[in-house]
Amino acid sequence: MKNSKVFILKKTIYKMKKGVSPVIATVLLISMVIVLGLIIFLWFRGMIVEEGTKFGKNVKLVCEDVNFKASYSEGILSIVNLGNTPIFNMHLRIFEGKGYDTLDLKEKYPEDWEGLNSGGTFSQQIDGEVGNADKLTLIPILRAKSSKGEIPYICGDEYAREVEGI
Amino acid sequence: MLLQDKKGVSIMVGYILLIVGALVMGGLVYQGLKTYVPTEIIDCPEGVSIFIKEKVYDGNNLKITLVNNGFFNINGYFIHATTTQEQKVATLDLSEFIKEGGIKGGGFVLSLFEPNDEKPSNFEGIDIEIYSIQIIPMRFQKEDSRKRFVACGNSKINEDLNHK
Repeated sequence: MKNSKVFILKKTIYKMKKGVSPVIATVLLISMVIVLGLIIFLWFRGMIVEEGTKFGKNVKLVCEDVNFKASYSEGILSIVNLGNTPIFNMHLRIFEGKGYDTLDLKEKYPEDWEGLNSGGTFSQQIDGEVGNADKLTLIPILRAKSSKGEIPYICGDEYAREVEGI
Repeated sequence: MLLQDKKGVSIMVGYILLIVGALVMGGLVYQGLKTYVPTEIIDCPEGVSIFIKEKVYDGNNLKITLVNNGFFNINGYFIHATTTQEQKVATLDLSEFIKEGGIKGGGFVLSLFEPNDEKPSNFEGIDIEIYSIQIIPMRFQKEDSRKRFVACGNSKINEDLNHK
């Protein structure tokens, strides 16, 4: 008697067809994966700094093509752009002792600095800033295209060039 | 009963979803990585060369004769001068003072030199004493079916001026 009741109950459960259909379950599963993927993508994108592009290339690669020469004499810093990559701005690193100071040329000399196009030059009296420096290096800053518009990109230290004559 | 239920995404729809997903992901990855592919840099050919055959500087006017001794046309040049004897990089733009032998451009002199061409240029009224000149040839080159202006930094020349 007891056995037959259990059998009927089991049969009823197996026969019960109410619940989420396989199609809806699949749709739900796919939508959840897409939504989760989007959340993770947006989260990571916010954490990664966008570098931007120049001439259709990642701006990091364009730093390799920058070609300029700089010298310092009688308190005057002279720079010439020998390459075909326009230089938007430059950071001058003034090494003294164990540390260094960084001078933003565009920020410091807004009236004289107009950027360096191909063949462009810049010269400026900077002896007041340099003092008794042991070494001067210049780091190029390029203008890159990004989703936020045009952004400045500071090339890595490996692209810094030493200023001759100090 | 559940195992026998055949409703769900059909094999064909499954394949389509899989292929579309793969294509979309491939497209996204391609867009992200294509900017990292190194492309040819815009540069002058190695055979570009120019030299100063003659130079005369009288403290106010400069006369130079340039010769294209390379294998390619040169469409003009940047010309800069040093204003002190110690200065190693020339920064004073002399294109402003061109009177003969070229047209003043935006910081450069426009003048066509075919291979073996020889042309004199006169720069007059230079109000600052100059010690040496630096010339960087430039060309118009076809890049991606459009003409681009290219500076030939690797073919630059320096010349000291003898003061008279």
